[in-house]
Amino acid sequence: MGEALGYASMTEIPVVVVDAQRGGPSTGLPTKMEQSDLNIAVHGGHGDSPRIVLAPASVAECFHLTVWGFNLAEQYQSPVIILSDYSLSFRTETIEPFDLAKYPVITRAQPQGELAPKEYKRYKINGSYISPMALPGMPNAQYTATGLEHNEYGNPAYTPEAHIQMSEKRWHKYDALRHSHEYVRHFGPERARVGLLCWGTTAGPCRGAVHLAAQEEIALSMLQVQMLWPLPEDAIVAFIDSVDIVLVPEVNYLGQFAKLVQGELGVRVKSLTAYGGVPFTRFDILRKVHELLGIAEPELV
Amino acid sequence: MTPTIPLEKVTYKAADYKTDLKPIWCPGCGDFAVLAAIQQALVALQIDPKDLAIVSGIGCSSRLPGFVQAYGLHTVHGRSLPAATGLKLARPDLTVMAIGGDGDYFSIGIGHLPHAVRRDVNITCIVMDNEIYGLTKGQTSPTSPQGHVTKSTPSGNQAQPLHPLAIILASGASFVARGFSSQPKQLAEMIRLGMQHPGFSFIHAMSPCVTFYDTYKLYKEKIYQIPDSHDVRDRDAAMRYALESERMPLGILYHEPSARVPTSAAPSNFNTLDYLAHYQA
Repeated sequence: MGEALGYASMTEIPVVVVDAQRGGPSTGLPTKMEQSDLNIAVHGGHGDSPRIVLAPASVAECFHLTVWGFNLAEQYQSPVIILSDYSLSFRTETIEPFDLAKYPVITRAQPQGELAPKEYKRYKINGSYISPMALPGMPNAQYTATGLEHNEYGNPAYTPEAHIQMSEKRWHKYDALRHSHEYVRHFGPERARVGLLCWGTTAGPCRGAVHLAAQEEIALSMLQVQMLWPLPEDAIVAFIDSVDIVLVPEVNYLGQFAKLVQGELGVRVKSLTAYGGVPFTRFDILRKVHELLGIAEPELV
Repeated sequence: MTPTIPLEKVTYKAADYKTDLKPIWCPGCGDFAVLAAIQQALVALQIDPKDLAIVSGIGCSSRLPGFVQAYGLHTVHGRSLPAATGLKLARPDLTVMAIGGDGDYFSIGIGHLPHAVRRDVNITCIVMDNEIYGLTKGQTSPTSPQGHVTKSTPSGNQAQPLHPLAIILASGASFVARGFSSQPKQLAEMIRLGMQHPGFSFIHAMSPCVTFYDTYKLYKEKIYQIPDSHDVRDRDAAMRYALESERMPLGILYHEPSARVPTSAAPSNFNTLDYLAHYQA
């Protein structure tokens, strides 16, 4: 899969891939959930291969984020990976009916007007770094989508200049997404002592923990990150600034998202991992919040 | 023979199917002749370059789409058939060719071949077979002969070569032919007939590598023409030609004119919005 994703990155072909994560490595726990494909979703592939990674937390979000996924793939001419997981892909939930009128349908930029022969540049460098993409059938716009490094015409080009120019094009086109506040959901008080930074289905138990904490009058907030790559940096930094302690709960051994946030943003976060193949409960998360705040666990009767 | 097109009906000449890119192939490479044969077939059929798509994998021969005035998809190693199948299903209006070499089609990508044949999507598949990995400078390929000494088999190739046409025939292909780059007229004719065939067509184009395994002389000794008396609907007879090792029959091995119905796009009565409305209030 990584090789074809790299091809889509290189050729700037829109494609949406759904990964319902299960316990790994190898065949691992094929009937248990895990959130351990984050690293391969974000970084998998040879070379610097950009893509967009989205993570739904609920059945309704599977719908929203799949629409986003296709729209983002079309707009950014990019592979998009939707990171679901086993527990979500087998889940039944009662949801609000979808209002389809609220979903825009974005199609990729296409060359406008008549083209003269040999005029069309498939990978034309422009302000947005997103170049109009011809479809077969358009006269005078024939080109070859190659996995080789190429020039603006799409012809193979191995010069340092071409690789620098096109690497920058492939990465810069996502700049707006890094500064976007659209792809996160915030719950709980605006300022809090502990903030849960989470993704995917772990957002469920996190919201449960936020409710429980409110009953105990503990200031606990959470930010669910729906777009894991490119990392919506501005929104995450604003959240980190709004809390004293950042806790990143996730269902994998390494703390993959915690490492990603730390590596990208240069901040320290606390990682809470579960790696038994079963999701967190809200009590697991609240217990860790108690521990971080030095609150004794209530005696169980 | 290729029918002669009246001059007034010729819109596209061979030059209209050429790009400005100079092929990367070594002087004398068989792939030049295959490229020319493809362009001749396109002239014979007067395919509009804007409606032509050529899909390839990885290898010397897979660089071909860049040299043809067409929409090209130079994909990853061995995966041209899935890409070509998807393209033809999404865009049945296009003329779709899938091309590549013996490494691409008979090694890493061989798993796709029987299924592309079974699906019988209207794709013309041309495999340029030089019995060697040329791009990577001369390692044994799935069609290299037994005992062949290469960089990857310094003591001689122990494995038997595949009989690709036998695999294609056994999978149920309806158009199977073999040409040779030194017989470009016949090769162009095979490609033209393959393109006119309304299902999956397979053309095995023997195309020697002058640098790492020069088989021109050997092939010229091995080749012979399949006689006119051969019944192209006789799969058993075709299979006997396909399994020959000592000699190399050229021409149409098998052609079943009553191919399966060409694949069309998604059923036109399916409306996504109607389907989704089921989930609305």
